[in-house]
Amino acid sequence: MNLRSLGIFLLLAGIAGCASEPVAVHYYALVPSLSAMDEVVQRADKPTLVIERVELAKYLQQPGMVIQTGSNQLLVSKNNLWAESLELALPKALVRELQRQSDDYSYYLKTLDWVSQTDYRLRLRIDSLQATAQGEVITSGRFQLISEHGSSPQVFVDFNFQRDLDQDGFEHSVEQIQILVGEIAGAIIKSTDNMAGL
Amino acid sequence: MSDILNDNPPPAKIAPLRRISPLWLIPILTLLVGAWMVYDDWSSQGPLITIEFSTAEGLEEGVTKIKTRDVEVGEVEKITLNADLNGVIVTARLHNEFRKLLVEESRFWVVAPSISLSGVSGLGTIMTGQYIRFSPGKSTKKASHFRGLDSPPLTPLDTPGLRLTLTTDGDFSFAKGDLIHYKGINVGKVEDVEFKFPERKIYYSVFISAPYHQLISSEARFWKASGIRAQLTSDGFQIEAGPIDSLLLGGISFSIPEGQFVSETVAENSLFYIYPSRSAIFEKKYLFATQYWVMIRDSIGGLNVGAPVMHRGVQVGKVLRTDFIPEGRNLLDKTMDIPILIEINPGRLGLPDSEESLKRAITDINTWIRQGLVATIKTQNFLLGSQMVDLEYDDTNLQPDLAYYRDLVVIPTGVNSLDKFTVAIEQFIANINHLPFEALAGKLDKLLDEGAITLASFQDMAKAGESLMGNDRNAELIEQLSSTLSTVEELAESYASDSQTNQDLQRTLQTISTFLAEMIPLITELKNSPSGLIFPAKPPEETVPLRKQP
Repeated sequence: MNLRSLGIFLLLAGIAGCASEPVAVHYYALVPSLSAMDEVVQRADKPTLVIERVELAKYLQQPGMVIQTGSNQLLVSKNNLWAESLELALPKALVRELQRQSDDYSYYLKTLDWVSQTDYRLRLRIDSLQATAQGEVITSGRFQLISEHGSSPQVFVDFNFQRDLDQDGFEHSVEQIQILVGEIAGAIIKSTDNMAGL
Repeated sequence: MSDILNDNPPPAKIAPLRRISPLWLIPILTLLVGAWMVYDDWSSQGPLITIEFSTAEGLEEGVTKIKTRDVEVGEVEKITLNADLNGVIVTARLHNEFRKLLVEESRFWVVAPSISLSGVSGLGTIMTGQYIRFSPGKSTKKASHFRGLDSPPLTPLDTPGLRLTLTTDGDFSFAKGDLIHYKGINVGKVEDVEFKFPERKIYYSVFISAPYHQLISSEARFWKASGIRAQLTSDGFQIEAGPIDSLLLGGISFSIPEGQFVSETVAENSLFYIYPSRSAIFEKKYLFATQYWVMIRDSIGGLNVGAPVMHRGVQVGKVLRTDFIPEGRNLLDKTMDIPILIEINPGRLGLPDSEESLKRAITDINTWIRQGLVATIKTQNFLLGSQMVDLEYDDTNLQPDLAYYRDLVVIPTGVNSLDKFTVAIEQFIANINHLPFEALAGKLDKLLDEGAITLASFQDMAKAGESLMGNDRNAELIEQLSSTLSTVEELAESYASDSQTNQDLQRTLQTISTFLAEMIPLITELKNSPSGLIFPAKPPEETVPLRKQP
């Protein structure tokens, strides 16, 4: 054994001593997998509802999942992340929910789909969409629905939904957030129906 | 009394004396028993062998044992220097029952404590003393003289597995003991390294241990497992790191490229090529290629050997040489074009990789050149500044006769989009400089005067401008202005949303944006804990959402 080998061994041992345990990072998808959804075929002859813009609060635009620990206090997780940023995933999840809840309209994303004619335009602002330390998931915000026809061309709707958590953990909270997105979709369909006179 | 003193005693009885006393049986028997014991001792002695080592460090007569699989099989009896005084001859006696193991391929080496990057071994000998390790061979030929190994063999002879020969002509090398990985698992080692001077290539003898040797088929691709690989792509900044031992020791990885069918396993000592990186194993090798020169007057900075030659967005070849200076010319001559040697593969054009396709490709490309095919140096990556050669049509650059240089056809050089942009900007500035502003103001005043004759303020302006009027260059001014606007329109068109330049810029900006977004957590972490990169603190317990308490 020479001194060089011993030196390298001690160096490696020192470096190994500095190592910390690996941290497991979990990723969550907001859009349910295809197998969990029925196949949806949109008919072109239905009135079109185009989601023009979905604007998220700044703190929801980063990948870490958020827990509201106080009325004005938020905690951003470092190890539990959105698999796809909410900015991209939320519009897709919303379209899925709209399609699932009503087939009276054809739904499109302005950023992804090309639409020849627009009947209704939607702009959505999400102010909160997170779990809270009180065992709930909450969402609030406002959407603007604009009709290209009729005498009342637009409505503004403020919404505020919440659900109780039955289980611990982020996975369950993501499931509940998906249900909240469904409730937003329900409010949009209701407003669209009112506007269409259905 | 008289009888006793009688002068004539009776004659003595004479009896024959026994020649051998029965007492002699005892020493004879003792001798026989002794002889039998000597024979028994001699016949039960194990074979005496000699082993040549370069040094006798750690070996002692009558003390050092010979072991195999930690079982003692003999002992060193004598240590002497060899005749040349450049080594030692160790005479050892093995136990008799191991006599049959002494064949030509048997190997001996001294086991001593060793610490190296490959691992720690022989620590037990610190307490027990060094010993000679014996590995029996497979040969049937008996032997009694052996040459000891200076270091332990990496793989014992009887280890199940597969030996392969790997080679590479890349600028990297491996050492004995470097690891072979398959999906991060150590499955073998480099056993031997041989540099063959005639070919100037390094050949590696590697051993893949069982059962992983079953993974080796003729489609297996080996590549240099670099420690850390960083890549900046449109998906962001990616860092790939190999297994920790490959970070420290380097090594070779292998895999079967996706889409390849796994065929039967290969024969012992089959030859494989070591690719420089994992991505290189997916590059298809083309056998046929045709070469052309491209003469560049401008800078070729960023145009490297291997840079792609593109046609309509598809790679059809690559750059072979960028460092060729024509004989008798030099870069001090400003008019010198720098020759760039490129090759185009028929296989990349969608044709079969065959000689017939090569002939067809040569004919067609030459026709293209006559019809206006030009080569343009374009930016491949804005961030890295790398360039590529793009082949495109320029209807204004018809070339009825092909130009040749050093027996190869020269593809004419086109003007790239950056040059067009620069020319347009220069033209625009020149037009601005040449604008007859005074005449323009006069014309404007006249128009205002005619159009707003009832407005007093306009009348004043018109009157003030009338002094500047009466210029014959008004018509020329309009023409110049029209030309300038046309130039601006062309400029705007080159930056239209569907233009190549615009798309390149968009992609680059997207890459920068993604990269910065991914760096934010790291920067935040470093801001909070500057030493966290080297000495990461134990992560705090994460808060998770809890169910609602009743």
